[in-house]
Amino acid sequence: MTRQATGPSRRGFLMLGGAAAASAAIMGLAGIAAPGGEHYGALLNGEVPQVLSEKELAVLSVAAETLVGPIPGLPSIYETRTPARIDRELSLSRGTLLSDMKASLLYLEYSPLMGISLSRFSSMGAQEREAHLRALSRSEDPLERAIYNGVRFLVFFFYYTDPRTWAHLGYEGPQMPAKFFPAGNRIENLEALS
Amino acid sequence: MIREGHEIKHDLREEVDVVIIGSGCGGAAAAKHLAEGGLSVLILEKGGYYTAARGDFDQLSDNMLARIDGGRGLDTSTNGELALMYGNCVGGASVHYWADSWRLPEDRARIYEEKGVSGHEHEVLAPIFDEIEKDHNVHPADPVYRNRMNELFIEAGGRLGWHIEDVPQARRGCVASGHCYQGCSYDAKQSQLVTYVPAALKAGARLYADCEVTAITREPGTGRASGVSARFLDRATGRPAGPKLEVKARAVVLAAGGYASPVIWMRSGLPNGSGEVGRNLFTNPNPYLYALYDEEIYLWHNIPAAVGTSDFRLPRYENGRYVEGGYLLHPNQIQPEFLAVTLPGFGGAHAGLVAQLPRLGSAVAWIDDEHGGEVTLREDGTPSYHYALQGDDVLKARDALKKQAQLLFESGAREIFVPDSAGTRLQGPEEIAQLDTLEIQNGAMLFAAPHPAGTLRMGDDPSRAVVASTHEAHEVPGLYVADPSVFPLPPSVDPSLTIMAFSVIAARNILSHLA
Repeated sequence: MTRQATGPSRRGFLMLGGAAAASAAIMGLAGIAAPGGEHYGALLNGEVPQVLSEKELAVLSVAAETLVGPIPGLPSIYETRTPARIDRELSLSRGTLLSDMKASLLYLEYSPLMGISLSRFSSMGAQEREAHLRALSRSEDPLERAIYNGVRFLVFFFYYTDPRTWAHLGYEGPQMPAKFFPAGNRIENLEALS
Repeated sequence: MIREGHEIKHDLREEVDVVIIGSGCGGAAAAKHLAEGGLSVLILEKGGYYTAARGDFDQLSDNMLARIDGGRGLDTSTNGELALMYGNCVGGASVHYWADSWRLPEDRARIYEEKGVSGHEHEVLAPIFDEIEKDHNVHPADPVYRNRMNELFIEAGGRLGWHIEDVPQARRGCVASGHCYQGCSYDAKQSQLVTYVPAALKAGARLYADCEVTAITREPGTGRASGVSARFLDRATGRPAGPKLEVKARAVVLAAGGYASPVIWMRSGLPNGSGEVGRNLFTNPNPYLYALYDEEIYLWHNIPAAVGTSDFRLPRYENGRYVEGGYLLHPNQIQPEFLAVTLPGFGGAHAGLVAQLPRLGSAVAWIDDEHGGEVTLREDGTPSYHYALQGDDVLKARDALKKQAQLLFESGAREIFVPDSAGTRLQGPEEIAQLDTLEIQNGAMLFAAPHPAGTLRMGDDPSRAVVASTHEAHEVPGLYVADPSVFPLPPSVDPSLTIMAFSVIAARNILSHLA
């Protein structure tokens, strides 16, 4: 499936319209009915989404796991609660970030079906997922690059703002004591909510 | 006196001489001069009030972006090409700026004149800059404030024959923590939060924080600006808290910044006879490269850019064709979390790069863009920022990347990482030519965009400009604009001093009108 690139100046940040329309088309072509709730629920690691659906948070979790990868000595994206922190951030954002992210996750989940894969993104093996993300990153289609970059930005920002990752970065951390911010998006904010 | 949103329990009405929307470089400078001139002044700031004394500046990037950045650090242009950086706190964007403090170059003041701006000539501005520099302790940074990247920039730039200069800094008692972008925890950076806001308050101005202006109001019949309608926000959610504010004023000053001022204009339904409202969005986009060294660099240590070069500030053309230049070139400073975000790739390859962060260096350019974008409103009233590098601005970005690569290799870099989607790497100077053809548009690279300007353009011809050279709107008497929205082109240097100087002129005009 190809899309004619148009001038970028009127597209949404993650080109919401194009992503949503393309995903809907793929779902229709593939005859995909309602998502398997058990499949997605098993990927949530106990997190309860605030503004994403369970399916979207599950796809985000799988994407985050693939993007960050296992790094010896560092916590996993589940231990850092990276997907939940992104969900929390999206609940505080205004403008189109939330709708763009929802459309991107939908596209990410179903776009493998456009190629030779018979699996949705969240059902793929680790190597297949890596290959799919790499293809998006190198795509000539600005839509696919925007989806890759948008999801990637949020995942890395919220993973590497966890203090447990800083030694790996060589970062000594702040020289001031942390101060809780009610509109923040740290793990402390998630704990305060629960 | 500052009152924060949580202190307001009921609807309020105010009547003042001047109400000012925004407390950044534009709003604070105007407020100080108007209050010192004897007028009653009320400043309305949409963002919160954060201070070092209360421990608010905790240097955590996630916390601080949520506190002080307009888009919580995540706003982009519609095509994903620009990261929009703007303030949302008392003191505005100056709270996160690098403290670089340049005067408007004389050549740029002349171009402003050619574009129809009067009363802001180099000779007019010079004594105003004298005063502002004194108030902000602007001075060259002592060599002790140069981090390793700054030293490498000096050495390599010198070998390349470039003139390396001190970048004037607005600091007082800097402790070199390296956390400038998250807001200074030590009140050393001379942002508006610690300079003109307190000066305005001392002179009698008042300020409401967490107060979002929903409309500039006008007198029926005359169309003259008569005040503003506003509402207080709940800082914990960013949503309306309940209480509202109505302000009646003899003059309204719009100083919400280049990204927000045109939005307030459009939401208020103000006239746009010139068709220029929201157009001409200039952003000073920043292309940058990363480089791996054998030695430790620690990009996030000390102050960001103690030195730089203006050798390429003016673009050079031959026979009408672009040759080089059109940007400032500086050492770069990026915090570790953002380095991790902007380094290319993912998985094991990315983790390997991230593990080498202390040995990463970087250079950055501030492109003096000449092809503007546009701000529009969606149906729900939220803004869209449309911007795409185009024309000679693309060539400037490519030339800037090539000069950066030259400097980084000259300073001992083993390898250069291009922060693009494809994860391009350069192994040596012989590969720099790749930057001539590398895709850098349509979101292939993310440029920082910290200096919005031009969206309420100034000029004495009402058919081509939104505000007159007095800063008063052509079509809305009593409404003055005092922020970079009025610049007909970017100032070609960091804009903070120029914004303040223009606001002083705006304040003088208001004082003479209201007197």
